[in-house]
Amino acid sequence: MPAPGTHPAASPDPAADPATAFVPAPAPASAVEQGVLPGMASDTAQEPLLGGRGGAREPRGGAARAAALGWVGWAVAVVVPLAFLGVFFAWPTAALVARGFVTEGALDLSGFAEVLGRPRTWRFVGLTLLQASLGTGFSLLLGLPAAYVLYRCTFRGRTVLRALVTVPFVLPTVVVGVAFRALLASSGPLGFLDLDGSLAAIVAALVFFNYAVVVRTVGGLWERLDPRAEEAARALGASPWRAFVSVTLPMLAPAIASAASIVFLFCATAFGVVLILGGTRYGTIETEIWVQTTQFLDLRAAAVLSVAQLVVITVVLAVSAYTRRSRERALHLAGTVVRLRPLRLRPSAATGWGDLVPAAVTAAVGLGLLAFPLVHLLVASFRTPSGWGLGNYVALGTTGGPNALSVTVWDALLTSLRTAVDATVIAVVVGTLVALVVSRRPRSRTARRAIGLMDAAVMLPLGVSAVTVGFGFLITLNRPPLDLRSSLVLIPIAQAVVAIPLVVRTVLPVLRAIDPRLREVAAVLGATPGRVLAHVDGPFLVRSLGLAVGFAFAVSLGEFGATAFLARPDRPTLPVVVVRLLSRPGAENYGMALAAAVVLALLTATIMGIAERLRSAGGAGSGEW
Amino acid sequence: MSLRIDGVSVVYERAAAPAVDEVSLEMAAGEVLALLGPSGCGKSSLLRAVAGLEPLAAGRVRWEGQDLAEVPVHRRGFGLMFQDGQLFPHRDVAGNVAFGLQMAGRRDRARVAELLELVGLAGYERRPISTLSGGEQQRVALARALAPQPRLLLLDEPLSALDRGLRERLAVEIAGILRATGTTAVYVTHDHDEAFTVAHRVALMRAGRVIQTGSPDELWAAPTDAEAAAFLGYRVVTADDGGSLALGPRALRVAGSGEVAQVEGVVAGLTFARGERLALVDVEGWGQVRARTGEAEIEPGSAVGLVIEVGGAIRL
Repeated sequence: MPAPGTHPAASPDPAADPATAFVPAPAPASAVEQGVLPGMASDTAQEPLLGGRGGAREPRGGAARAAALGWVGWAVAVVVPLAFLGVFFAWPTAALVARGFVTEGALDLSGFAEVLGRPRTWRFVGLTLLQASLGTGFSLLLGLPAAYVLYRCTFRGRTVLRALVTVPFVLPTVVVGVAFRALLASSGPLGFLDLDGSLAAIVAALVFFNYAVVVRTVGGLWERLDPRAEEAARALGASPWRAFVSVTLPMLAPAIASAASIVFLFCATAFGVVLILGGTRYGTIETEIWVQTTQFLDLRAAAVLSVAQLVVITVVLAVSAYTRRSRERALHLAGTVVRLRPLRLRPSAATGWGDLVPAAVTAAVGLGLLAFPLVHLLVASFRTPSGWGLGNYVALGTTGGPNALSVTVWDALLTSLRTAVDATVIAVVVGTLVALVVSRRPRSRTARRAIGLMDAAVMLPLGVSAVTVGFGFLITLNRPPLDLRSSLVLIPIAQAVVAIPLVVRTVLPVLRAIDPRLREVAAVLGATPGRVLAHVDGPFLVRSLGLAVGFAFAVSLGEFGATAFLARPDRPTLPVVVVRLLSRPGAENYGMALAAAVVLALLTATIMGIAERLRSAGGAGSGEW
Repeated sequence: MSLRIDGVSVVYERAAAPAVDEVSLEMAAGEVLALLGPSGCGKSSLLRAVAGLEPLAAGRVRWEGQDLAEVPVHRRGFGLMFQDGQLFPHRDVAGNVAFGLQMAGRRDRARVAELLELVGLAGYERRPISTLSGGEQQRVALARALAPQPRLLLLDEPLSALDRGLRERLAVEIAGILRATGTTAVYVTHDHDEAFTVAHRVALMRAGRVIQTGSPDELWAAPTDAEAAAFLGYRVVTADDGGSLALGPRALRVAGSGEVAQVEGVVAGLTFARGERLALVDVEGWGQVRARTGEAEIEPGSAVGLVIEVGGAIRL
C-alpha cells in the first residue's frame, strides 16, 4: 500500500554569489606514492585499462547505432500504448459522446435538453450520488476501526486477517451481487428483513466491496505515523478519544480523503452489483445506460448519460489526484517509526475500554458483513430442489433449464479463462510500456511535461465506466475501417482497457521508487542504457509484475460491464452466464447461478492469493491501493 | 596530466547562479584530489559533470588529451561511489562487485574475491545486501567501483552517512587502498579532516568556484582568506592591529603564574574534550574562545590571561 516517496535526483544547490577571485589550479602534484599490491600490478593507474572497458572496443559508429536503437525503442514504447488506447478507448468514447451532440452531421444539443429534461434521468443521477455517498460514508465509518486494529496493534493471526479483509475487494461484482441476493431473497436467511431490491442492500454490498480500500489505504499510513505525537497529547492530559480526534485523525486526514475519493469513484461506477440487487427501483447512471441501450434502444439518451457520468467522474478523479499528492506529502513528514502495541481487550482503570470498541466493531463487520454472505453463498450452493448435495455443481455441465443457456457453464468458464489470458497479456504489455515511459525523468522540461500528460491520459479508462467502453465499441468497431464486431478479440481488448490503469498503478510506484543514482552507478560501471534498463529496472519490474498479472487476470475474469455488451450469445463468459441464470425463473437455474458464482469466486481469490504470494516472496512494494 | 578540467560550468534550470562556475583543475596519474567545501558549493555537481552525469554549460573535460564531450557515461571507464552506497538490492555482495566486470564482458571470480579481501570483507560473496551494516555497504561499494580498474575513481561524500568513529577509521583505510592500488581519484567531502586524510591535494570550493588548491599542509599553513581559514577549522578573530588572526584548535593556553598574558578575558565556563580541560573564555572583541587550562586552577567568572602558542595561529 505504500506510496513510495519519490526521490528526486541529487538536487543542485545553486551557488549563492559569484564570489571571490578565481584561482586557477595547476599546483604541484605532491608525492604520489605508487605502492602497488602484488597481483594488481597490471591495469592500475600507470597502465590505464583503455581497452578493458567498453571504451575502445567498439568503433564510434556502434555507439551512434546503439543510441539510434534506443530512440527507436522508446518511440515504440510511447507509440504502442497511445495507439492502442487511442483506437480502443479514445475513439469509441469520443464517438459515443458525439452521439449526444451531433445529429446527422450537425451540432444538436436538443438531445441533451430532452434527456436532461426527463425526471427519470435526474432520479438516476440523484440515486448515483446518494448510493455513492452512503457507500463511502459507511465504508469509512466501519473501516477506520479495522485500520486501527489491523495496522496499529499486534495480535496472533493479524496477517491472515489482513489478507482475508482484502478478499471481497477482488471478487467479481457478479459474485457479490449473487451472494447478497441469496442472503436477502425471501427464501434466504435474512428474507424476513424484506431488503431484497432495497437501497440498504445496495449500500451494504458497496461497503462489502470497498471496506478493504479504506482499511488498507488508511492503515498503510497509520502504521507509519509516529505514535509519539499522540503520546505527547496523552501526557498533556488528553483522554484517549480526545487524543485520537485532535492529534491522530488530522494526521490521517490525507489518507482518509484519498480513500474516500477512490471509494466514491468505485461506488459511483458500480454496475454488476447494482444491476443484480437494484431491481427496477434502484440503479446508477451506469445501469441506466445499460437499460437505455439494451431495453429502450435509446442510444442518444445513453450517450447523454455517458457524458453526465464522465463529468461526475472527472471531478472525483481530480479530487482524488489532489488528495493523493497531499497524502504523499504527509508520508514524508510522518517518518517510518513503527512501534505497534499488543491489542488490549480487557478493560482496566488505567486504559479504560482499551481496544475493545474498535475490536468489536471490526469483528462484527468481518463476521456479519464480509464472511456471512460468502459462507452463506457457499452453503446455499449445495442446496438443490431435491435436498443437499452436489447437484448444482453437476448441473454446471449442462445448459440449465429450458431456454436458459446456449452453452454449458464449464464452456463459459473456458471462454472466460481464454479471454482473461488474452486480456492479461495485452494489459500487462501495454501497461508495462506505459509504466517504463512514465517512470523516466528526462532533463528537458518539455519532455517531463509530455510524460506527465501521458500519465494522466492512460489513467482515463479508470474514470470512464466499463459500460461506456463496451457501448462505445458497439457503435464504432462494427463497421469499416475496423469491423471487429464478430471478432473474438473485442472482449479481451475491452477487458484490457479496463485493466491497464491497474497494471500501471501497480508497476509504476515500484519503478518510481528506484533511486536514480542506482542507474547512474550502473552507467558509470559501464552499463549501456539498455543494460541499465535490464539490470536495474528489470529486477524491480519483474517483482511487481506478479501482482500486476494477478490484478489484470482477476479484473478480466470478473469484468462484466463491457463484456455484457460485447459477449456473443454463443460464447458468453462466466459472469455473463451467472447473470443470465439468475434472471431465469426456476430453482434449478438459481442453484446453478450460486454454484457458478462460487466457482468464479474461488478462481479469482486463488489467483489473487498467488499474486500476493509472489509479491511478498519478492519483497517489492505494492501498488497504490 | 591524466584528467584536465578546463573552465567547466554546470548550470541548473531555474537556478539563480551556476552550480559550477568556470572551474579549471588538472590531475596527475595516481593522484588523489579532494574537492572540499560546504554543502551547496558545487563540488558534487563538478564530480557529476566529470562522470558525464551532468551536461556542461561551458568548458571541457579531457582524459589524457581526449575530449570526453562525446563519450557517454558508460564508456568513460570511470568509477563512482555515492554517500549511501547505492548497492543493487537484488544482487548479493559478489553480484554487486562483479557488475562492472560483467558490463565489460569479464567473468572473474578471483578478482571479486581479491577486491573483497582488499576492503576487509573476505568471504562475504553470498551475503545479501540487506544484512550489511552501513560501513560494510560502503566497503562493498568501494570494491564494486574498483573492480573494473577504473581509469579514474569518483567518490561523492562516501563516508558522510556513517558515524564519526567509523568515518575516521574508514577514511584512513580508503586512503591506504587508493595509494596501494595507485588509483587516480577525486574525493568530494565537506569534512576537512577527511579531505586531509585521504588526498594528496585539496581543492577548496566556494560558490561554484575553486578558491585555493594545495597539499593539506600548504592549505593548513596558508588559507587564502578568513572564510577559507574558518572552513578549515580555524577560529578567525581580529587582532589588535586590525588584521585577521586565525587561531588553530590548540592555539590558546591559560597563562600560568609569571607568564605574560597576550590577551585578557573572563572565564564563562569549563569543559573537557579529547583528554584536555578547556576554559571557555569571553575575550572582548573576539567573542568566546577555547583555551587549554593546563594545571592552572580556575573558576568560572574569574579573569584570566591567555597565551597564543607559537605555530598554533597564523596571520592572514
